[in-house]
Amino acid sequence: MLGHDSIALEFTCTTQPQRFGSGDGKGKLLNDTVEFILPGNVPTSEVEKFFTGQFAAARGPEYSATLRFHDTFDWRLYRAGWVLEEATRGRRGVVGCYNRRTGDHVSIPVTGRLRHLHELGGLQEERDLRGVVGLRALIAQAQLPVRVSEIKLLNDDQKTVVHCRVGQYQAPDAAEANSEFTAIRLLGLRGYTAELRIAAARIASATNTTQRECAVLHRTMEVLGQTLDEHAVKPHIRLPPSATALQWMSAICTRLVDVMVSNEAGIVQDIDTEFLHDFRVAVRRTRSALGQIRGVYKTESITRFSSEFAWLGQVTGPLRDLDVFLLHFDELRASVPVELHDGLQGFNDYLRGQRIRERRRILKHLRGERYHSLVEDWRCFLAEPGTRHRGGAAGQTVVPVAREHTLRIWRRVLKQGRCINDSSPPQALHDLRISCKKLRYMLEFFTPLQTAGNAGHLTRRLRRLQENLGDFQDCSVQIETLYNIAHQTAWDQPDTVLALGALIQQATDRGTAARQDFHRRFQSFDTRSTARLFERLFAQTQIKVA
Amino acid sequence: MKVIALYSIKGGVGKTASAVNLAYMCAQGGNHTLLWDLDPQGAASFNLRIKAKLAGGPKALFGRDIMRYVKQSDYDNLDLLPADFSNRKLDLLFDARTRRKQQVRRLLESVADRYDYVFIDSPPGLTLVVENILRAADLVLSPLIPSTLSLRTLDQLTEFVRHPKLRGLRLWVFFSMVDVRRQLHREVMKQLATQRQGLMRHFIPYSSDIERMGVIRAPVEVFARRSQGGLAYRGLWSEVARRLTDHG
Ligand SMILES: Nc1ncnc2c1ncn2[C@@H]1O[C@H](COP(=O)(O)OP(=O)(O)O)[C@@H](O)[C@H]1O
Ligand SMILES: [Mg+2]
Repeated sequence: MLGHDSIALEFTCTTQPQRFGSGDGKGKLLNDTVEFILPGNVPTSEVEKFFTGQFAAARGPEYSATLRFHDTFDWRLYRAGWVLEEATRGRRGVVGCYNRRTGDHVSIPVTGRLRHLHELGGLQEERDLRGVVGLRALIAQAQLPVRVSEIKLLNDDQKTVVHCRVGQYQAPDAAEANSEFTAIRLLGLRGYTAELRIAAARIASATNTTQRECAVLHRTMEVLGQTLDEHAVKPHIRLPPSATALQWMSAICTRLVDVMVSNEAGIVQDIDTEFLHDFRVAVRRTRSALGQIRGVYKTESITRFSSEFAWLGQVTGPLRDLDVFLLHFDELRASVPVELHDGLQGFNDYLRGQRIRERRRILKHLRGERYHSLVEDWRCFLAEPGTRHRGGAAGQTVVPVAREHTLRIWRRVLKQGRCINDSSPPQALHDLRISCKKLRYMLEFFTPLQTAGNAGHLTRRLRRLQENLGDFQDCSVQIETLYNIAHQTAWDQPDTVLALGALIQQATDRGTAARQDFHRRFQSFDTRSTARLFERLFAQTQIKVA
Repeated sequence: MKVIALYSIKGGVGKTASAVNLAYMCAQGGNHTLLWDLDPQGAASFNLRIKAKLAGGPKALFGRDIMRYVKQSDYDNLDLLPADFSNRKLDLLFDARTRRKQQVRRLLESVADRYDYVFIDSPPGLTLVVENILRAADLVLSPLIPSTLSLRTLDQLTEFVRHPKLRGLRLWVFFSMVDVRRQLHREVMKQLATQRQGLMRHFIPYSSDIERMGVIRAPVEVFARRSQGGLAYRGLWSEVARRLTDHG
């Protein structure tokens, strides 16, 4: 019998997504996806033999395909517990979406290459993945050709109890001598966990290997000589609390310059808008570190770097503003009357045109001498800050220095915030916003030195205040930008100016609302318990150091 | 989630054959489908090659997370909650509980966001389990063999479903095991069609392929793709699905 076939990876007939795993995610002894890696090419007939006496094996289809692992450039999906892979042959493909936390796996047939998440057809997974990916784009992080064969393991009733996929891989240019490997993936069916465990044990004992989570992904990366950096975005600085302020400072700044450089390619290729954003955040953090953590370097030694990073922030600003407008354009459109939607199109065209121009400008800077010598000189400086550049605080242990500057900015935030009343000029809120940002960076720079729970609490409280100030600021900037754009440009349609006027009105209203909410937000930040958290922020490490 | 019960007061009329085939077709259409084999004989489970056994028996099933008992079938999107021979004592178990007629319904509520359709293969008779099934169902699909007694059976069922507590429950009847060569079958069908409304247009003929399901242990379409029986169930399912969307 068995004329039928419902294996999802069969390119010829499956049209439905297929779920493996219990889907409940709790109380499981074993993940429902199990992977083994064997060196060399192990023939499928050999794999079948592992199960002799336990399960009958029914051979499914065999085919060659290209396996790609998709993720954001900084592996957000992986870090959030997902592996998104795609096997394609010609125009047909199957996307496998695997959740490391629950062990569930869903295979989704697609036509053509996976480019957008909506090709996953509205499954729950699509929504989950969207939440993780956010504004980032998916890129093919790794790819390898593979020869796949499918085996179904059957019990006494000839019922399929485990799906087994055997993949034979080889790196394309065979750069590495032993780049050939065979991956066995077992996919458990709901209600057949025991059988999955038995099948896994059979492979383990027959081959003397152990299963490994996401083994195929890791081995693929290895063979390609690439690394999967799990901590791409916020690696903590690994220095003992006994380190000097100088060591700490140079670790922070080195990491930040690494972030800038690692985002260059994404900006150049315009993969998504977040590369520029992250680049700019790293620039801002660098400026903040230089400006706030005083006394580590001599002021005159870093004057040039400070002003060069200010320049870098400034030249990348206009593009970011355009990106923000375009990212929120649908919301903007929804916020003005339908009659003005056509008028807004003119604005959209304008933004896109400007964006092309600004991108050209930035690319020129990124390839230019000024930027490159800044990065190079800065790196040299960080690696070997000569004694003549060291300030008075350079040799101190980092903890008291960190405490001093963090608390100083915290006090400034309080002082500025408490002065603000209903008649304060907008500038007062902008200044407070900047101080809050600096405080936030301080909390982040020194996280490993802080009392574990406190830092998180403080960051959350501060974030709520920052959101309010940020909203107010965004509105002010928007009003000004919109006003300038409306005036400077000759518009084809008068409606465009009307639409811009409506947007200015919207922004004004939102700004007023934010302003009205400020006091409540600030008061819930400026509390005794916040003060206690700050006072004890560096308490533990201090004891350890002493 | 829509709950569809395959039910008839009588046994041997094609409830199980219909439950398995319709659930299979429903799942083929991309719906997350659960087939719950509530007949202690376990014929539906057997047809999907799944053992009719619940670890810990029905007592455990009605006390715990039902996903622990669900088995993934060999077909996309189709799961089975197997039968257990001890399910024949289910009436006693329910009778001892409060809300004794809502046990099935309550258990299904816990999987409401997981499945689009639940098919229940019901035992025959007028038992407490059956009352539970009718309380849980949105739709009762009832196979009817066109014979002299079928009119009486249909009347009994209609009467039974009219209970005030079952308001909103729909009863749709279709002819099953029809032998079109038999004069009697043709006459009864014609007669009922004029007398009763709500009969399904599609009927299931007597088919040796459907009969073979119990030997091959798979939905008929899987092993006899273009057979008369398979096509009949396809037609019946599309009619059911269409009427369900029309009725909201
Ligand atoms: N349309 C049909 N044609 C031929 N045999 C059928 C048909 N429907 C069911 N049968 C057979 O009749 C017997 C009883 O059917 P079943 O579906 O088990 O009925 P029920 O569940 O109502 O007791 C089974 O052996 C089944 O294979
Ligand atoms: Mg039956």
